[in-house]
Amino acid sequence: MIAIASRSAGVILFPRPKSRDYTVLDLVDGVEKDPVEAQHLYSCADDWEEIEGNDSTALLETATREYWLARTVSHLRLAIRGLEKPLETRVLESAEEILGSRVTSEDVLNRLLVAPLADPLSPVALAASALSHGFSLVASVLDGLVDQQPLLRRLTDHWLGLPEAVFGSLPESKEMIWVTVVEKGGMRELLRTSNKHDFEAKWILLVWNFRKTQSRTGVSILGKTLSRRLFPGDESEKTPTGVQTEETELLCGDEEERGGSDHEAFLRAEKQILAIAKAVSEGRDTKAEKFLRELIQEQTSVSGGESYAVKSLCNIAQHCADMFRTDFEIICLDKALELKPFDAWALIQRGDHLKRVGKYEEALKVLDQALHSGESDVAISSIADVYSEQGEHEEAIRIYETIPNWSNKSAVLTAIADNLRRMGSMDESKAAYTGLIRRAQQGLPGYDTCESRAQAGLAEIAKRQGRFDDALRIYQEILRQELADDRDKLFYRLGLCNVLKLMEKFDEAYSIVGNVIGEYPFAMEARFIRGSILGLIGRENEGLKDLPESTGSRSWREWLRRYYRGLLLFRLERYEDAKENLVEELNKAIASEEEKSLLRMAAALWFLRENETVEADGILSEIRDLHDSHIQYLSLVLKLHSATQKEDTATINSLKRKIDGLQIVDASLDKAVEALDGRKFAVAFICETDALLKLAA
Amino acid sequence: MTSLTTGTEVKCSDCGAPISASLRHCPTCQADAGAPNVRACRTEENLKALARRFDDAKARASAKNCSKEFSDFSSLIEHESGVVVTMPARMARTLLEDPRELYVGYETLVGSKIRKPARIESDRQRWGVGGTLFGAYADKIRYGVLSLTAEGLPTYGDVYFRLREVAVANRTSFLETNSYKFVEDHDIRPDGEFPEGYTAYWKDRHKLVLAKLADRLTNGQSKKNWQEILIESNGKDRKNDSFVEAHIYECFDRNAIESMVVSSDKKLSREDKLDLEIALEKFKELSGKT
Repeated sequence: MIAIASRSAGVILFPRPKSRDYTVLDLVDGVEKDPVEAQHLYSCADDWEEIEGNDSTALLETATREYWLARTVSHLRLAIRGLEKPLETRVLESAEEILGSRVTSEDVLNRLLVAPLADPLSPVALAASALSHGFSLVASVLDGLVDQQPLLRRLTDHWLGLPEAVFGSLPESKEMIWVTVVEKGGMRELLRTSNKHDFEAKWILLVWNFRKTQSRTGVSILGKTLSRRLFPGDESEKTPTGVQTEETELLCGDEEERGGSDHEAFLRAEKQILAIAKAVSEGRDTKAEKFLRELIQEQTSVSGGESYAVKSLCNIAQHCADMFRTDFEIICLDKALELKPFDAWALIQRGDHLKRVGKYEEALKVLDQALHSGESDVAISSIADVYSEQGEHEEAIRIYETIPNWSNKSAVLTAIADNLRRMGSMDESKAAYTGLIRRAQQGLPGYDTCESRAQAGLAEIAKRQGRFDDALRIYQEILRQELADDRDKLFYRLGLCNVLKLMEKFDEAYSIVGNVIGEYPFAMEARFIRGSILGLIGRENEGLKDLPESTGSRSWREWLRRYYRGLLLFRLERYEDAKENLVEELNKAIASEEEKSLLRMAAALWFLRENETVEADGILSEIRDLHDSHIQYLSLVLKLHSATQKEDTATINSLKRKIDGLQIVDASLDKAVEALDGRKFAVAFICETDALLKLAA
Repeated sequence: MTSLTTGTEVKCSDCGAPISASLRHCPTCQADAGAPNVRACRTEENLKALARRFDDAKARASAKNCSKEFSDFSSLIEHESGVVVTMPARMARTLLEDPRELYVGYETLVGSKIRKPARIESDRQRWGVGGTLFGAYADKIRYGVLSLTAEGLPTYGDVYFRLREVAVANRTSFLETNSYKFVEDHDIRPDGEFPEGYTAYWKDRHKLVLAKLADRLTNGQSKKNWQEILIESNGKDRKNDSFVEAHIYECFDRNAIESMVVSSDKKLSREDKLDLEIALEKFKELSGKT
């Protein structure tokens, strides 16, 4: 059965049997309208749409849902665009009511994702206003909208960059296909995909919304083309360059500025690199690619310029890695290797990229190539790192020891000490770090730069053993020294921040991480830390802005984003969203065994909240040996939580004995134990969430 | 007698190819032949028939000693009347909204409008009477009324929008009365004959009004009285409403709006009130820009 409906008019037209006339039904009050009045009232509607259903009830249901959905979307658009305050409140109230009874937040968010917002942060203040009135559903949709902006911008950028020829054979216009994707609820799902396979799997579900076989085939091909552009690193194909849609923009000043000395060229390139990184951070990939082409063209236009271009590309790739934009990182590295296929540093960086995205076999192959292209010490170290990141620390150490004259190379000795620390051999590690410091202090050549790294290693050991004061003191001492390497300094500042976080000195930690972000706007890990601090001080909504949803494939340390995000959502009682980040991500994260322990605990927390103790116990039982005393304490608390929920007295007693035997002080977890004693689960959840937010450091 | 539906085929002034009565653009060279509803009113037969009816009306008015009123009313219609459309508050707010303001690249992604093409048959017959009168282009006709003020049909919708002359003059035709009543009274069938002299294009709208209302003229009438007879409604049985119906070819956007008036008689729900408030604020914003 077919009917015609208009979302703006809120009416549905049912054909009358054996007649040219229609019955006109108001979707809001269900009243049949007089045809004369209907003709005048509704003819101006310009959004008539044919709908199909098994019977009139199904048609009415579809049309009604669409009406309320359109109304909610319209409410939110108007409010984002700006309304007088009292009216804004009433509009938000109405949206909240509809969201609570007639439509889902997911559907509304999908519709709002029809195009990138002109001002991506425009819903932020509105979300705060909604929350202040208790309109949490509205606030959640608006937060989601802000989160998705960089991803959406990236997707639309690629979409608009598709050559027109791709659409040539399709009966539907490019615009109509886009609208169908948006309206069939596919947008958020597409934005959340992290690789080519995921994207194509989600796209294929949308293909079924097209009636004609020709359309389905064409749209399916379209999806493949789009996924290749979005995830170029997933296969060996090169990224095709699309039709440019962005306005022509002079990146580096006018033509006159383009001439000049080597120094000017260097400054210009530096400016271009930052502009490219900025475009990538905003999800404006097409623009970034355009700038990239300009940069390469400019640098390779002079004799020997390939080397400069490769360095620039590797530099941009590093910025992308800092942002966890591994998809764009690989574009840069591929271009670098196109220019100089055997450039050892570019190969090492590519190997490092593959390692971080969990493609260990491929990483080893590339690093083997680098080994034969010069820089063999670094290449061997990088190979060892691949094993280290898989938790194979002994193998990593064995490989480090194959580097010629390794026992006199400070960088190799530091890496070995780091591996000893990660595998839990604290005494050996401590001895190795101390040895390095002694050599540095003796003034032995080649050891001058390793002292601070070794000290940081000792600080990390102190932190893992619960000696926060020692860790703090060491980091402060390191940072008082003159450090040659800015990048090292960045990591020490973040290390210090994490210690302060553990010591609950949140103001100080917040201030330091804020400064770091000011200096390194692309360092996403710093933003993740700030997000977690904001969560710990009760500013979860602000914290979520530092923890946007992921843009591309998963990579090393990127698990922190989803982990912190999930915990903040948990604290905001947005449990379904929290589940996506804490439970569904559990098996997908690229993380070390110790990091996975934290991820497991966070997932267990979610199941405990749902009172699903069997699931929680199962996950907690997968946790391996823990070398960090506070993490160990937390795992016992979570097990105690489960046992208390089950009222399993024997297990409760056994766990309490273990907890009593711990040699550390953790006021927050002590409070959790006390809360569990009194079966005050809500308090326990707060303490446990706090602990999880603090401990991932 | 001709038919509005089948009408008269015209030749394209640019390329000479035939253009069917239901098309606006020449299928060969895409030259604009004008809105088909307007073309249908401008046939020689219809223009002559309307002029005859106007002259007869003038003579009747003169016989009643109402020549001055006839002339004044005619002049008012010619210079001050316009098209008013009525709509529910929920539609008014949508019309005044513009998603392009919020997004970047909205039109490039979505196109100028997001309507999905319906299957021709169901779309054509959306309004039974519209299909009878306009056939293949019935779905392109928007309905309004001719009014001397900013108000339209009382008791219909929540909001009256008077449209700017420049936005509608070239694509609007007028029918002497409510199309339902007209089709019924004249027993018009789909693709059947259509009586001449009852429709007018923009410049002849005064002729149509006077041909219809000359017998209602009395001495001493003013604009207020004429508005009352131009749009009559008892508010109960809409089929008895009397007005000059405006047929606008294709849609219009918020920039076509000259004024916005809220219907005072309606009892509104909470949602409708909210929609009205939104519409008023958006219109205020829009008026401030122009």
